[in-house]
Amino acid sequence: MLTQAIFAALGGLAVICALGVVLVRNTVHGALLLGLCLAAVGGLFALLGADFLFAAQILIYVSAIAILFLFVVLLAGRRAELSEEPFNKSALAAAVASGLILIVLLGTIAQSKDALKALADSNLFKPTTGDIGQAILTTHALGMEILGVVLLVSLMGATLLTKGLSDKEKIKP
Amino acid sequence: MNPTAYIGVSAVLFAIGVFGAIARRNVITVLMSIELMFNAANINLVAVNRLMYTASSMGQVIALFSITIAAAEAVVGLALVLAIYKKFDTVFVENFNLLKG
Repeated sequence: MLTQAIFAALGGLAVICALGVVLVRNTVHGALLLGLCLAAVGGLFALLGADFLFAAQILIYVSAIAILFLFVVLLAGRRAELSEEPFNKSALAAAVASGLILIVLLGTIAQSKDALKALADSNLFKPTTGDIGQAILTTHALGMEILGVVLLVSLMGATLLTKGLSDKEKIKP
Repeated sequence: MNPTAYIGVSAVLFAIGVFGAIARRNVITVLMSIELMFNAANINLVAVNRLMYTASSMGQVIALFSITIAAAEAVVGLALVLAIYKKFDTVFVENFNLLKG
């Protein structure tokens, strides 16, 4: 009963904040709402007993990615944009398309209700940090090494991309 | 608890992300919507792993990899946004028409 209540609160918070991210006009508010939404998703991970992923979600998503978005919003924006239309011409088509996607997904979930049964007691907490550590150092060691290279390359790429431009490279719209 | 509820929340988050990625003009919000879709996938992985395949935690390992990839994607995406902003002086996607014929 308590689990259901916490799930409803966290799930509702995540969905409302996600709606806020795509609907609010001010991108600063959008970035803050994104942080709240990611924190709510982290809460869902904690509710599922994924202790390590909860910590990773808070450390990586809420405190790194959301703050990075906030920085970029503050660097690459100006006041005049607040009075402009936030949606493009295809907003209605996008709403219809995402609504159709949602209907198909929820219909599929409703149809496979019998297959989607909880086989385990979700109230029984079993820490998974040890399992994950074991897996990424043994069976998934190659994947983890490749991820390390990907992170290094993305760091170098980001540094290269944000390096300053000279004046003659600038293009005015 | 039933995994259906978690998968339902994830489906709703994914649809919201799709809408934001298509409909918004601001490129930073488009990137944020992509992060929402990443999170929807992660909820799915963790919920199905935890509630239906308790014996292993491979779903959580894959979710961890996906979080890492999302971090790298966000870093490169935001660096691109900053570079484009410096060049074009705008964050609206319809003005990024360098490759337009």
